[in-house]
Amino acid sequence: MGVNAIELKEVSAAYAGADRPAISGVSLTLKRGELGVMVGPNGAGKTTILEVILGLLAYQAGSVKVLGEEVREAGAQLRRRLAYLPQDLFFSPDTPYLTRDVVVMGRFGLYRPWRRLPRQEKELALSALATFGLADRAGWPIGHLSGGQQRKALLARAFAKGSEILLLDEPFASLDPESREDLARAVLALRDRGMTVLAVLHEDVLFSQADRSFLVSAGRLKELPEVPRRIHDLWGEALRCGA
Amino acid sequence: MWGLILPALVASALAGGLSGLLGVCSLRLQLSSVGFAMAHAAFAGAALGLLVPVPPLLLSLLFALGVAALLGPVSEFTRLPAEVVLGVAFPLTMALGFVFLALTPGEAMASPALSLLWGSVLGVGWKDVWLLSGVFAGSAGLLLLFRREVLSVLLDRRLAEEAGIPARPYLWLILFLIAAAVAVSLKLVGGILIYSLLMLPASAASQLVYDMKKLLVLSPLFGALSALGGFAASWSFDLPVGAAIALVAACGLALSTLCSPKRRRPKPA
Repeated sequence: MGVNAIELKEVSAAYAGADRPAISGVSLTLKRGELGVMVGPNGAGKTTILEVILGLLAYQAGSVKVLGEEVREAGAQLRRRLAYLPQDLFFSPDTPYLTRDVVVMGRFGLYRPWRRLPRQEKELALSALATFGLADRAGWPIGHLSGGQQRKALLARAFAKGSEILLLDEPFASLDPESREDLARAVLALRDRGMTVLAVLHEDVLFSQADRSFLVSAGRLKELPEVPRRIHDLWGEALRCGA
Repeated sequence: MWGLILPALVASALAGGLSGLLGVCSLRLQLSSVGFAMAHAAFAGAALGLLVPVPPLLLSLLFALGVAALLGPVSEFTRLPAEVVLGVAFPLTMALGFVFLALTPGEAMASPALSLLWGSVLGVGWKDVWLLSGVFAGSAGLLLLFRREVLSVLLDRRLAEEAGIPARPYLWLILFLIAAAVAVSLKLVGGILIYSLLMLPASAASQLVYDMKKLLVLSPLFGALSALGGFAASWSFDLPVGAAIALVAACGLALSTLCSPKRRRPKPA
C-alpha cells in the first residue's frame, strides 16, 4: 500500500516533429485513492501529462511510475489497470454499439482472442451500469444517450474494468450544470471506492473536493500548497507567472 | 450455358458478401476512399501485368496491399490524414495504370485490360471462385478470431488502447483484408465500381441496425444480394456487370434509408 498510484519525476516529453517539448521538468505525485485536479490554460500541457501517464506518448527525460511500474517498460499490461476519458469523445447517434457492449469492451483486453468471453462479463457490465443509474439504458445504442449519460457509461466501463486509476480530460465540457453535478457525484463515488482520480478541469465542479491541485502552464507543473475553493482563484496566478 | 453462368453467379455472391463484410470496417474507420484508392492500385497492378510477364492478378494484389501497407506509415511520416494520403494514391495509381496500358504493345487500351475497370462476367472461372472463397473464408475467420479486438478498434482507437488492445496491428489487418478483397473482386466488378460494393451495402445495413454484431451479418448479406441482383440485371438486359451491381446496391441503400428506424424516434434496441 506504500506505493504511490502516480509518480512523475522531472518528466519532459515532446510530440514527434515539434521543435520544443510539450512538457518539461514535470513532477507530480498522487497517492492511492486520492483525487488530483490539474488546471491551466489551453495548450499548457495538461492532456500531454495524461498521455504520458497512459503510455500513449513517449517521454524523453525523467521517470513515470504508475502503480509502482515504470510506464516505458510496462506497456499494455499496465494500461488495463487504468481508465481514460478523452475530452472530445462523444458518440454520434449512428454509432452501432449498444451501451452494455461498450462497457463489456473495457474488459476485452483481459482475454486472449481464442478464449470465449464468460457469461459473467455481461452481468458485470449490467451491474456497473446499474451502479451509475443507467440500468435502463443498457440496451440503448450508446449514441442515443445524452452527453452526460455517455460519460457516466464510460465511468461504468472503468468501474467494471476494475481500473485502479481514472484519468479524466475535461469531463464536464459540453455538459449542462445538472449533468455536471451528476457526473461529479459518480466520479466521487469511484474515488470513495478507492480509485485514484486525476482530472483536468476548467470548472469549479469537483474542484473543492480534490485532495491535491496542480497548476499547469507553458509545459510546467506546480502543486499548490492548498486546494483553492474556486478554480477562478487560480487563473490570475496562471496568467501572471506561469506554473 | 450453366457452365458459364454458375461460376460467375457464385463469384458475384462471394464478392458481394466479402465487400459487404469489409465495407463495415471501412465505414467505421471513416476511410470511405480506401476502397477507391485500393481498387485503382489493383487496376494499376493488373495493367502492369499486361506489360510484364507476371500474372496480372498477383500484381493487382501486390499493388493493393502496397497501398494498405503504405497508408499508415506515409500518413504518420507526412502528418497528413489517412483520407488525404488515399486521395493522393488514387490519381497516382490510376495514372500509373493508364501509363502501363499505353506502354503495352498491341491494342491494350481496347483489350480485356479495360474490363479491369468495368468488370466482366465472361472472364470469371472456377479458379476465381476458389480464390474468392479462400479470401472470404480467411477474412471471415480472422475477423471472427479477433472479433473483440476489431470491434474495440472500430469503436475508438484510444478506448481500445486503454483496454489494453494495441490498435495499430488490428488496423493494419483490416486494411490488408480490404486490399485482398478489392484485388480478388476486381475481375468481376471492375476497379471503378468495387468502391460501390464496399460502401453501399454497409451503408444500407447501417440504416437498419444499431448493433455492430448485427451489422456485420446484415452487410455481407446485402452485399451478396446486391451482387446477385446486379448479375441478374446484367444478364437479362446486357448491361456491364459492375454498373448493374452498383445500381442495384444503390437501390438497396435508398430502400433501407426509407425503411430506416433511424428516421423514427429512437427506441431501445
